[in-house]
Amino acid sequence: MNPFSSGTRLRDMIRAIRSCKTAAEERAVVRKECAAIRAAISENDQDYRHRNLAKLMFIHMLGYPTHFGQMECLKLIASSGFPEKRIGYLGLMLLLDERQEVLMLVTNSLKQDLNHSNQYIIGLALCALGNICSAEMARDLAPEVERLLQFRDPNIRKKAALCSIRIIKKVPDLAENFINPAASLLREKHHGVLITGVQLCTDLCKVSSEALEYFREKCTEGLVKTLKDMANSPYAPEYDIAGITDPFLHIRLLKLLRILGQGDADASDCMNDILAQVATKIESNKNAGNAILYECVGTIMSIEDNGGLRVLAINILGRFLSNRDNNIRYVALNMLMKAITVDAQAVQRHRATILECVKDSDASIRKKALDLVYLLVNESNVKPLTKELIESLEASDQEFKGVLTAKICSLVEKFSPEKIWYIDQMLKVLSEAGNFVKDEVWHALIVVISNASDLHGYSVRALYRAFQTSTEQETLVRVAVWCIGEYGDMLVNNVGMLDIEEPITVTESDAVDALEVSIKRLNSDLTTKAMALIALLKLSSRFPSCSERIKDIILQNKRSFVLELQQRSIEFNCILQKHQNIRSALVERMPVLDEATFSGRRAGSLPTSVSTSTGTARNLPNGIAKPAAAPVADLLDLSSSDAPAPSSSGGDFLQDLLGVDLSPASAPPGTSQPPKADDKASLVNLNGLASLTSLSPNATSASPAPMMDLLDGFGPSPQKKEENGPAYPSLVAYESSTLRMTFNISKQPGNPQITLIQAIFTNLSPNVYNDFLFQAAVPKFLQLHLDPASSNTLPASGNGSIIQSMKVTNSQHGKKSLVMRIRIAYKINNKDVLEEGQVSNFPRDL
Amino acid sequence: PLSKPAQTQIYQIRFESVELFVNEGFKLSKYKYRNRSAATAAEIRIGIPASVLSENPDFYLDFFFRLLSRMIHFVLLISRQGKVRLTKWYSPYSQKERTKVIRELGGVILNRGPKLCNFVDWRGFKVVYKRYASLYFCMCIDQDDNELEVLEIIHHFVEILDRYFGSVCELDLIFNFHKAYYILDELLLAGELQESSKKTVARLIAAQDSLVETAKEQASSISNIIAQATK
Repeated sequence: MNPFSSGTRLRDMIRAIRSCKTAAEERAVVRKECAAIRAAISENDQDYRHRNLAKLMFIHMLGYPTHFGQMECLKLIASSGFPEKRIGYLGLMLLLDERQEVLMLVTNSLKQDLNHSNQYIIGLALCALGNICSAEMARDLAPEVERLLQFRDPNIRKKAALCSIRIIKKVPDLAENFINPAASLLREKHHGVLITGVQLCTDLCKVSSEALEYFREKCTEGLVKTLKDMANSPYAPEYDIAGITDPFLHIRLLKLLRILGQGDADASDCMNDILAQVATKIESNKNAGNAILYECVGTIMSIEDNGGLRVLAINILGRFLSNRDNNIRYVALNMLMKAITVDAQAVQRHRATILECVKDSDASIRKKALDLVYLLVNESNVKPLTKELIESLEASDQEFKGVLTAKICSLVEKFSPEKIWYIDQMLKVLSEAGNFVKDEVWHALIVVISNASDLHGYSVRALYRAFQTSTEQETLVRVAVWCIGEYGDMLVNNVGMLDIEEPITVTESDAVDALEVSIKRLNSDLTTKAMALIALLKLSSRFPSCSERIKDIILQNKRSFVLELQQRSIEFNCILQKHQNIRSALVERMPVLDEATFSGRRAGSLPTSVSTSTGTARNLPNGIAKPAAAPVADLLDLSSSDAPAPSSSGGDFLQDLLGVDLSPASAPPGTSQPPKADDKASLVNLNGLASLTSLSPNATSASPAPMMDLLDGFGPSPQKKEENGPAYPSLVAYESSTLRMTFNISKQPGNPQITLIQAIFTNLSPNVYNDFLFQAAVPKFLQLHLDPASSNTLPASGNGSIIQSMKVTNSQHGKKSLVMRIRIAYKINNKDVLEEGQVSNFPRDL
Repeated sequence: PLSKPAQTQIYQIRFESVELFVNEGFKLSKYKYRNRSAATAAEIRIGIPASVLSENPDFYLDFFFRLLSRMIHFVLLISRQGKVRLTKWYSPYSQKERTKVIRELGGVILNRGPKLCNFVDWRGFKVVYKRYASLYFCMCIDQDDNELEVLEIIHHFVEILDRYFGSVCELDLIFNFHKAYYILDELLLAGELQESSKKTVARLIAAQDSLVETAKEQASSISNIIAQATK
């Protein structure tokens, strides 16, 4: 005999493993044992096979690999003795699962054992089959199991019944073979057989409508009678639990009745009496009784309506809800959730109690109650319920806050009756649990505030107040910072005061203080700080008195280790120092954010629906495919829907907000938009002449100089521009020996596509031109609108001019530049003259 | 290997769609998993891309099966220290999933306070647990199942163990773990309750134990005879 395999007994091995002090020690012991077992396996040692398998099972339970023992199970099962088979089947169920191919090899042994003369061996085979059979095995062995449903010993019949459940779940086609034998099991007296028979019928109903019809027709009355007998039976010590005879059977009968009664008035009618009896008679002071009542309520709720029974059921749930036992309250909440579809009114009556449960100390109960409250909310009760929920937010622990916050935000958004209420509630949530609020939620809040023009002042003051008290909530700080940046003047001047507001005195420097705090706060994250920098830039023009201080604060970030901040700081500093003339236009208030676009994008980008979210690329008219979640430019092209969207990547809404902050005032973005380098780069174009580009981090570190060049390339010098006024030099669009036409070009702020042109005509000849008429034609991608001319007579020799304005809309803005054909007709001494020409020397990017 | 997002998506599917889900699962199994058109039908009706379905048919079938079966999916005995004392899987879980489940649930259940309710919502299923001395008995069931009854089943199991071992303790279950399994197999089969009478279970176990004893005696007497004959 192998010196290793003779080794230890099972008991000794367990003891050795238990005495190990460290995991390493344990591994060593297990390794040694496994080596011994492997050796025994390879020697085909028969004497200790069952002991080795038992050891392997223990090792398996500790989580070590034991696949090498799988074949041993099969060998033990194939041997003739009961002890070997017993341990073999146990090993089979423990070490293998139904996916393993090895399992197929056992089919034959199972078949033999199912036909064995020893009923305990049949029992073992049925047990293994019921626990791990695969679809193939189910097909092969179904006839044997079907036959065993009529076996003489009830203990085999009950095992066969449960085994059949597994078979029909695996292969629903086989269900019809089991309908008749299952029905006959319902007439049995043996509780085990009855329980398993009822269970088999229940599962048959689930997989086969034919079975459902059959049982409904043939068995409903019998089942009602069985339940009645049970409910009225005298004390039966063998099945008694807490004074009730076999609650398990009670529950299974009620379950089957539920399925039979669902959607069938006759069957439901048939069981009304017994359900009423169970609901009223069962004692509810022990768990077993409550389990039956709970099941009974479920059945009453599911079967066809019977008013009286429903009242009974709701009352039971009401009692459950006020029970001191947490388990009972939990199941009550669970059942109320189902009852809400049946009788919402009745559930509403328990609202107060349910709200109490949201504050419970038990996480399971809190979660269930919250789910239920969420279903209870409607337009009429959203205000009080939200108030309650926000109150419970204060009391809840960190883990629950996240769930609760998400639910509250969703409710407030869904049912908010008016904007001011929405803003108020969101403010409360932000100040209480701002750190748990998701990005899209506070983005939505900003969009709403931006849209409620009469509430701008109110919002910024309320946010300022909230900010003063709770600076720890990141998202609150962000929204506050954004609003102070945008509506800082309203904060200081108390613009748009509502009656309900208390007046508040905030000086300009207080507002700047707030922003400074949020930059210097240790736990502010990058986004917040970046937002605060932008807000400061905006305030610099709103509060001239503070502009020096603002410059200082911005400059402090010049040496920030965070690239984004450093970059912003330097850029903004440039704007403050060198570009005074455009600053105020640059930092104007943002245009109203488009709610529809935002919510549409939110819906599109949220992974709520599996089928719709897969790669829907919208095609824009100009053929640029836009990624579904591309968020950036939509905010910009508020009026021009078919403008080419600058391609953007990622769902970085925040960057959009920030990037946008700067641009729309005077800058038509996209006029010379270079392709975006990466997510981080936010592009801002200034008047189409130059672009202030915050380069992508990698680019910046390499070349800070180009960025400065871009800024400085703004024009020959800022001074000169101040004199000249328009940002574009005037150009001579047409000149002949007799006539000169000069264009003064300007852009409309915030609208990159539109170019305003002022045409000035000068007479170079000594003759007066009468009936002067200027006509122009443009290609299809342009739209031209001509205003009336200042006069139709052009004085001779340049002693005056005719001025005519026109507006050109470029739908291919950024891709094609302007071009125009002109025709000028006039009369010299009543003689018609016609001049024609083409203007193609427009500046690019118009 | 199953992809993470697909898994979470499934958990999000609302309860009404479960029936649909299950029916499609049947079709898939009928067509031996690999049938493309069945996967496409499923795609249309339940919104899981056909490509995902046919890539992970095993996973989805297992999942359909779990959804379909209103029953006990697994039984778990964990000690106070988080050591596993007994596991029984009635629904298909791969070895990897099993370890994950045990680790995850152990973390959740062992950390719950003493007077809280005995139910934990877990990955779309419910786990009913009860502590007896140093052992936690856990059973995983469906959303629709009767939690209170499962508590009763756990107690039923404990009482039977108690009778068999004579006031059972954790050590009994460690050294005689196989016996605990035998008892469980007489109580539950295919994730369903098999017997509501403690007496019957005890009788069946005793009968089988005595079969083993007789076999052992026979074996030793035979070896005695052989030993004597060869003397």
